[in-house]
Amino acid sequence: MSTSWWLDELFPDLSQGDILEEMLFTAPVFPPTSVARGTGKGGKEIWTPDSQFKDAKGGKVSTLAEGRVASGLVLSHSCELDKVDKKNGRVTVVPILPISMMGDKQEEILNQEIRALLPLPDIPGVGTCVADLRLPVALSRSYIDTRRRICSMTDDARLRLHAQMAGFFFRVKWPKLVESA
Amino acid sequence: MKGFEDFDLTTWADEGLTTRMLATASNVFKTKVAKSLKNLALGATVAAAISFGPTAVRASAVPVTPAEQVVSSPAVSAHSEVPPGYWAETMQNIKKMQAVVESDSADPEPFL
Repeated sequence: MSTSWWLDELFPDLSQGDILEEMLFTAPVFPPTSVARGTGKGGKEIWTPDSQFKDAKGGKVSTLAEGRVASGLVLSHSCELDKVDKKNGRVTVVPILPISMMGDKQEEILNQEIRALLPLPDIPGVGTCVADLRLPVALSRSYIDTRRRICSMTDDARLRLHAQMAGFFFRVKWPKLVESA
Repeated sequence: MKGFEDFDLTTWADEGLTTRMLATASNVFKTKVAKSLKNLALGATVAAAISFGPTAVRASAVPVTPAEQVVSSPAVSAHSEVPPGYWAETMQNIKKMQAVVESDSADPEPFL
């Protein structure tokens, strides 16, 4: 079994486990605020608050959102990414943060005691980070493709990621461990 | 070298621990001083500021539990929700499940 988390070279294509450079992680503000697109002086595009949500083209609505800029970890499966529409498709990513930002939880995280938070040791050029599985977002593939890919995971690291996802989303309990507890 | 499923914290700690400890030796000292001050109940505000500052956080993050301990110890910690050996067991079982053949048919367009 490999002991490295990161491949020396990127996979040729976007893959599950890839680390991407900074991107937007946002959620609609509360209370939800609709915005409408308009045109200002000189033909400049402007967005103004609107009293109600109106269906735009294709049944979509526009809303005010807020969030943070952070690097991201790709959760979408590589097979899914191969099939996804390069323009309209979505890629599920979660934000990653430097371990130093986790305050007094750092030791717990590094000891792998928190299901929601996967430590990512020594990301090349970035350092040790934490992936927060509580905050997955589905960003457009066209946006994702504008982000620089920092590194790709080894097969074993992806398997470790799968374990974290299973542990967090499904809370699976293995009989052997239950008996020994 | 212990199994990857245990995070390989040994290697990581071996390489990172020494350098980080050396690099942050002064910060560790500051942290200890801060704790002493707190114990003496003197300059509580100053002590708290140092204790919870970024340098102190970094210093406290350095001593990670070695990988083998994470697996072999009776309990990771008294309050941990993750039992020892959990990640290794999960990885083994997922590997078995991944033998399932997947369909290559196209998925519908996403709703959003």
